[in-house]
Amino acid sequence: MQARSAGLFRTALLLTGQDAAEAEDLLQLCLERAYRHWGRITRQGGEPERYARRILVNAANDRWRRLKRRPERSLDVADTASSVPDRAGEVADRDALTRALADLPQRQRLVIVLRYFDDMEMAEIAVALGCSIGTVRSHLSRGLSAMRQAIGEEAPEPREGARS
Amino acid sequence: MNDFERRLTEALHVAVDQAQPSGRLMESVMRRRRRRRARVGVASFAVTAAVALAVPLAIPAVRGSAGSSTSPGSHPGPSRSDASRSRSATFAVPVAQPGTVLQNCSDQIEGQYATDWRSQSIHVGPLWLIDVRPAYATTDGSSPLPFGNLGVNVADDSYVWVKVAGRARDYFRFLFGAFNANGSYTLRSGETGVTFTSCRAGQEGGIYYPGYTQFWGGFVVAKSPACVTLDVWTRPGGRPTRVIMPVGSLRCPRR
Repeated sequence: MQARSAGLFRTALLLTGQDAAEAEDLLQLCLERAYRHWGRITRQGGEPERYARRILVNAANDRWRRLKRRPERSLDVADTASSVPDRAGEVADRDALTRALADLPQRQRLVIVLRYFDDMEMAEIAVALGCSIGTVRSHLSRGLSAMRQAIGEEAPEPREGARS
Repeated sequence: MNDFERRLTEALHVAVDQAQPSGRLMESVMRRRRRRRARVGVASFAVTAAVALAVPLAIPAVRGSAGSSTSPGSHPGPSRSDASRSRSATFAVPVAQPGTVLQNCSDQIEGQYATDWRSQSIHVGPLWLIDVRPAYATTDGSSPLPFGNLGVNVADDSYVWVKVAGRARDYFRFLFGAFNANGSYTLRSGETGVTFTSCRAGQEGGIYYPGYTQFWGGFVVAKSPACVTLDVWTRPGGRPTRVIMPVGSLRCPRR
């Protein structure tokens, strides 16, 4: 589990709008709870990472509930992106996308991060969030649509839905 | 994946690609663990002290009614009332009812549900089957049969068991003892019933839902959609309450 902590930390960063302190706090909470239930998880031959991801998602939801009455600070991704040599237009595009992500409602942000960062299938996300695949699709579709709108991009022509 | 999705994927990875947790992560986790254990230790001490004070008062009352109100194998409880003595007695010896697997306080897994979880749940006495109106089963491609998660909240200090009833026994099983999240289940993987013994009030847990012990398991089905009939017992010797859990998009009667 410790070996996977870097990956979980990156997911936590995206869920918290790249607040490193909050992300580390989430990760600590997640690992402590996984450690507490380690016996049960391992004696059943389970996948600790799946449990850990669910704990992380729950902890992120908790945090969001605490913060939802006050606005989250604006995401500043310039520092993290600037270390990557790239053309100015692409950097600006990435910056706009990550800002748009940070402005999404929590549930939509969770689904988009799990789908496009953690590369999870719809069914896996449904299991992690404890909801139906249809609900996941709905959050994903609305989230992507809101992000397009936020960066001033028009929706594509109707086509096959997001990959499943 | 279209161009927008590709750009989004790339943006997310670039944004956090170099990020690492601090080098003292595990040390911080262990410190958290010690703090929590200390808090639980204080609470356990308080409960133990309370029981130690209460038992001398309860013994004479139990002796006075020996053979009349306690079930075989049970222990006398700390309370002087019949009702609370019965509850403590069953709690003191957590055993799985025949045909069920036992889930006790040490098996709890905490998590948070949607804010309106009660409206989509099945509720019988101290037992809540979470977000099962309807329950959804999925396959990830590796499982012979569809399976789903099943969250359960049980009020603290409770002893309750649930069994698959009627025709559902042919196509539905719980996955509590066997739920290993590796996504490969058959009916033989599961159980026809689960006994839940929740934590003592204040013993541990209740982070998300104070007063409840949370369990996290699943189910496997050979037929979906389906109306799964379940019998729930909330006290030994009592009659079961029959409930119906819809699996998949299907309208089912509630009981």
